[in-house]
Amino acid sequence: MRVKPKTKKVPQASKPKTKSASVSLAKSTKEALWAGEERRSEGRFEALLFDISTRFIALPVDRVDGEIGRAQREICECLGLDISSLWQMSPDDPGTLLSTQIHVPPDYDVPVLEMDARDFFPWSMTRLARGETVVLSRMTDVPAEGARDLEIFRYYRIQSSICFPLAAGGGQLFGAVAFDTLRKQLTWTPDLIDKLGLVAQVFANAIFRKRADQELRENEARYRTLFEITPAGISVVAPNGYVRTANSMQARLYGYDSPQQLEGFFAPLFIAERDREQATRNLQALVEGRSQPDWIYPAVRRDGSEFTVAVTALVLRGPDQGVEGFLFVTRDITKIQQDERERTELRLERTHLARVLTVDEISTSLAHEINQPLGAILNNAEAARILLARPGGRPEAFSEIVEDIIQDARRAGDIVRKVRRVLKKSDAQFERLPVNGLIEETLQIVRNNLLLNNVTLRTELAPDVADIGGDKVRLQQVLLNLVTNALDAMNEAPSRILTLRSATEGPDLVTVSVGDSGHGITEALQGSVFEPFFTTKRGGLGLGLSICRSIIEDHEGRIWQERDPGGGTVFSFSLKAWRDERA
Amino acid sequence: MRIACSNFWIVDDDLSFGKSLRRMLNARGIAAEYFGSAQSFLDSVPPGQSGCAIVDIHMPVLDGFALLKKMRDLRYDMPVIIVTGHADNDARDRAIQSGAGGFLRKPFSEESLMELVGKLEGDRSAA
Repeated sequence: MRVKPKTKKVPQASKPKTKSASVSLAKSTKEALWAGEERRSEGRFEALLFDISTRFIALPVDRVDGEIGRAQREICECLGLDISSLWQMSPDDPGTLLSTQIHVPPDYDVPVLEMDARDFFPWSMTRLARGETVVLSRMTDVPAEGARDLEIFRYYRIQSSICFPLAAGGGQLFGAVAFDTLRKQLTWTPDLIDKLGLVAQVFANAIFRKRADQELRENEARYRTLFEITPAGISVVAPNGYVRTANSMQARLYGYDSPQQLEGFFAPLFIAERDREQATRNLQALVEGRSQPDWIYPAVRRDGSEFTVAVTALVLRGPDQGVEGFLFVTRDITKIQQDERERTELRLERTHLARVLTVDEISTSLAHEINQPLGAILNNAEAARILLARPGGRPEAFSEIVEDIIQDARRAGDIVRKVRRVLKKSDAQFERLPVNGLIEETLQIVRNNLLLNNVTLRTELAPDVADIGGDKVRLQQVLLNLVTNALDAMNEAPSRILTLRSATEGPDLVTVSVGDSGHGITEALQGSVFEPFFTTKRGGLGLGLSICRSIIEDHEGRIWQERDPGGGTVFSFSLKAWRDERA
Repeated sequence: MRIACSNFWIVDDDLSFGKSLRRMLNARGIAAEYFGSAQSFLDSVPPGQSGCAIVDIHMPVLDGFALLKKMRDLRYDMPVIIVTGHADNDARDRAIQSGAGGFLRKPFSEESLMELVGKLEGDRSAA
């Protein structure tokens, strides 16, 4: 029945053998007989119609096909019809009709094929598509434009035919149901057309219901699959807070064996008590359009243990925009958060350590710097107080005093800002930096340390050295670390000479060196100076150089140390020269 | 408070601190001179001068301690108060050991300076 014809070849109209000539004599008698029977059968048909329509009420969808077939047979038997066929449009090609239910006489020898309706019944299809019933009491009723249809009817030896469109609620045509006679002509009376039309409608509704149900099931199956394969917990929650449904992942997240255990669970209990109220408020805000649908909450498992979840919510609304529930997508971010926290802690720790190293070493210097303006401010304020208490004090002196106080307060502020800039933890910000400016700024910070320790500063800064690209604060930390290390190395040395050099190496490489006149590093230790926790200082943590190295490596540069032939150690780093396309 | 020390020599490389200290003393009616370096003080004030020196530790070339030693070598006869903005603890001991009459941390109040001066004056008259 589902064999599609290989060709659209016109079936030979002559092929069916008509026996009309031989039966013509008996025809009138039979018609009369049938007419006499008509009244009786009319009552039977009405009873049958009632029965059929009753049977189709609330018919389970899996029984629709069977009931349609049974009804077709019963109608044919009741009305003395020979064929009832039901066709549905192919979901792949709406032009092709698939015969889904057919009742034919047992001796019917014409194969019923799946057919291309556009080719076999072009005229009928046009009418059906318009929602019209094709009523043919005799084949001569077929108009000229139905020539092709007529050919096919003849091929099937059909004498009378009626075909109803199948469409639900006046919607799109999805099939057709036909009743035909083979052995006699039949006049389709308006009453009969109405009644059969009613049957067609019952069929259409049942098929539509079945199709919708199938679609729903398929959708549901699709969603269920999605629901289950999504690597996140999903729960659908009623407005009153109780879980309607949840997926396996949701159950797993919260320590349950199956999602069924979560049905009817009070959803706020998924969240740790301390955040429960906030979560309710957030949800309310989302409903009112005042909140983004993403939150992070502490969550509670079945056994009471806590973890962290990221929750995304969707408000499910009915046609009237009323809230019908919520869909929550829940991900366990405990691990991610932990990793992130560890990374941050490590970063902070490192930065902090770097800060401690530098703060320790420059804090004395900072104190000096800042106490100068503070002392001056105090002196000036005292002078003003004395002058104010004295009768006939010169008021013009005050403006000068106040001006000086302001200047010194600004100076103090600048010093604090400068130091903070060096010590501040900042996100790496790459910018174009003059190398010598960087060195000079760093030296300013340690200037007093140098004086205090009787260190002679020697600078060999190449005047034409190329600019570099980098994070100023981080690179200053490197320089500070190298300088303070150099100062420490010279603590016990007879001569204390700090040498800072800048040089251009080749077209695109800049080298900065910090040299000391200390005792140098023994060869055995030279390989490990950049390792974390390497230190020769008492109380040193040994992280300074390792941090320096990671900063320089972040800048795609290189840092190394070598022995100064004249004694002492030289630490150098090289960085790429600034190129405009880097910006 | 009796101010016996009627003449102050301020030696500090920080211009603004030195000027403000001089201004404060002047307001009190006390003569004060300011020098930006140890050398300019030595050049301008001969050893026979009376008065009281207020000397900052951290100065380039000749620092406070070096000046103190030089003054002792050149037989300056005046009390020296060492001042510093530095926070380290051994500066006070070192100052006293080097023969300084007193030690003050910047910033210091007029009162603490005058108290120290009064004490120095008492010490000297007792000596």
